[in-house]
Amino acid sequence: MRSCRWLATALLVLPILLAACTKQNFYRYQSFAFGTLIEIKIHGDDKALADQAAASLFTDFDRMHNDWHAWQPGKLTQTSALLATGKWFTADKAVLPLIKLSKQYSLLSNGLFNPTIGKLIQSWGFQGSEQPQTPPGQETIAHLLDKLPTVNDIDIDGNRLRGHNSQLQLDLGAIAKGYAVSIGLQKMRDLGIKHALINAGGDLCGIGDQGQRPWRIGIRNPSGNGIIASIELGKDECVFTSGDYERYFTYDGKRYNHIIDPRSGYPADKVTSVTVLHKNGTIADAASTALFVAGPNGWQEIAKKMGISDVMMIDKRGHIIISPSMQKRIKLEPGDKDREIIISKPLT
Amino acid sequence: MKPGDWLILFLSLLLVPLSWSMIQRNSGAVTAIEITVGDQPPVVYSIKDQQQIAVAGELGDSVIEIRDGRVRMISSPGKRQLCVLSGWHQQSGDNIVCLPNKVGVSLISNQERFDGINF
Repeated sequence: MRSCRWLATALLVLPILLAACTKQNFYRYQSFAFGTLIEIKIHGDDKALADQAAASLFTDFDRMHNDWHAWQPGKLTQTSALLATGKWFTADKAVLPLIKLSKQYSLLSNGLFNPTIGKLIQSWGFQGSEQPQTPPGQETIAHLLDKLPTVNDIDIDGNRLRGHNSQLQLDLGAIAKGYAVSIGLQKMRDLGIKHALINAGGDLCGIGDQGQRPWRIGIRNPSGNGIIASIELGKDECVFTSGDYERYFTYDGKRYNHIIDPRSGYPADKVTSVTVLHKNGTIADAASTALFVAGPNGWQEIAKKMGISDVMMIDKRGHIIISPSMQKRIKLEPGDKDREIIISKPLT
Repeated sequence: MKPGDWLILFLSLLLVPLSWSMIQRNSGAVTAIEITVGDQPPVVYSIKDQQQIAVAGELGDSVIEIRDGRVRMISSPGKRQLCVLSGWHQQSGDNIVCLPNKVGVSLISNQERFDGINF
């Protein structure tokens, strides 16, 4: 009888012990950079190392934020000004690698990710701290489209650059966070950190895992504040989303989001959000923008060219368009299982 | 063992998965919010205390409301008002960020369902 009671007690206490065992050595840090809140989570035993890594990354992010700012005077605006002169110049090493990658991915995206259209983005009011109130006039857009720069207007020779279009103005907002996070994760690896997650304003990259399980990410429902789906990141993986619901303004009953289609000069408005999963944060960042601009009819070609196989797109009807490999990874929330799901052809 | 002992053992076995599932179900529920202002250490508030909290950011006061297990930014001096427009938040791992006022609100849980929210 006594042994039976002990067994019963042990069984009742077991779940509580199991729950307690899931507690890990977990360190969390926050700082503001890139116009958002950056959060770093580190799992490990060495708090001093975690503190050092987080502090070092935040210092780096702060510097990158200033160096790559699209409109506040700094190294990127200086580079834009030099490109507009049409003469060769030696590029600052703080911006050169990112410009090279931007050109590479812009070409792969058939120009749908275009880092040279700062003037067009500026005309829409999405550069600066003011909330845009009205769209630019049609004449303004037509004028800007007439000589719209592309990355082909930038010659690169080693560490020297030359521009071919006086309208060229760099805006790396669609790639900078991804690149910064990728650099940050590499730095953490170099420091000996094996498990970390960086959340750069809703775009996330992880290395290792959370301790007891993979890093688990909720994907926000574009139509509200709930979650539409969740995903568990691989050992070294990033999830980036471009959507029309974060930065926008409404004029005359119409919503204008901040992702500008370089083909039309107007905000891309064929889909609500695009989520991309990839090992490389830089590609994931640029690709989510490019696929958002491509829309529901042209995204597969761009995804293939950019080497993206995991994509989830939510169109204006609320339907989910998803690649087969992404479908295997995503777990829809119970309330969203009735959504229409369109599975694309495999992307690889 | 007596028949009653078997009954206790049986009920205990039944309660193990039940207790475990209840613990898991409660995981992810927001238990508190952390408010970060600039580079200052975050301050924690319980999600159970219905209240409005005014914090002084770089440009002025941002006002946060906690109600019914949810949190939202009522007002903030930023010109774009993105944090105010984002409405109510109730998922652990989620953040509300007011820039350029540099006020951040993080929703935290004793046992987070998600390590981060992608958007």
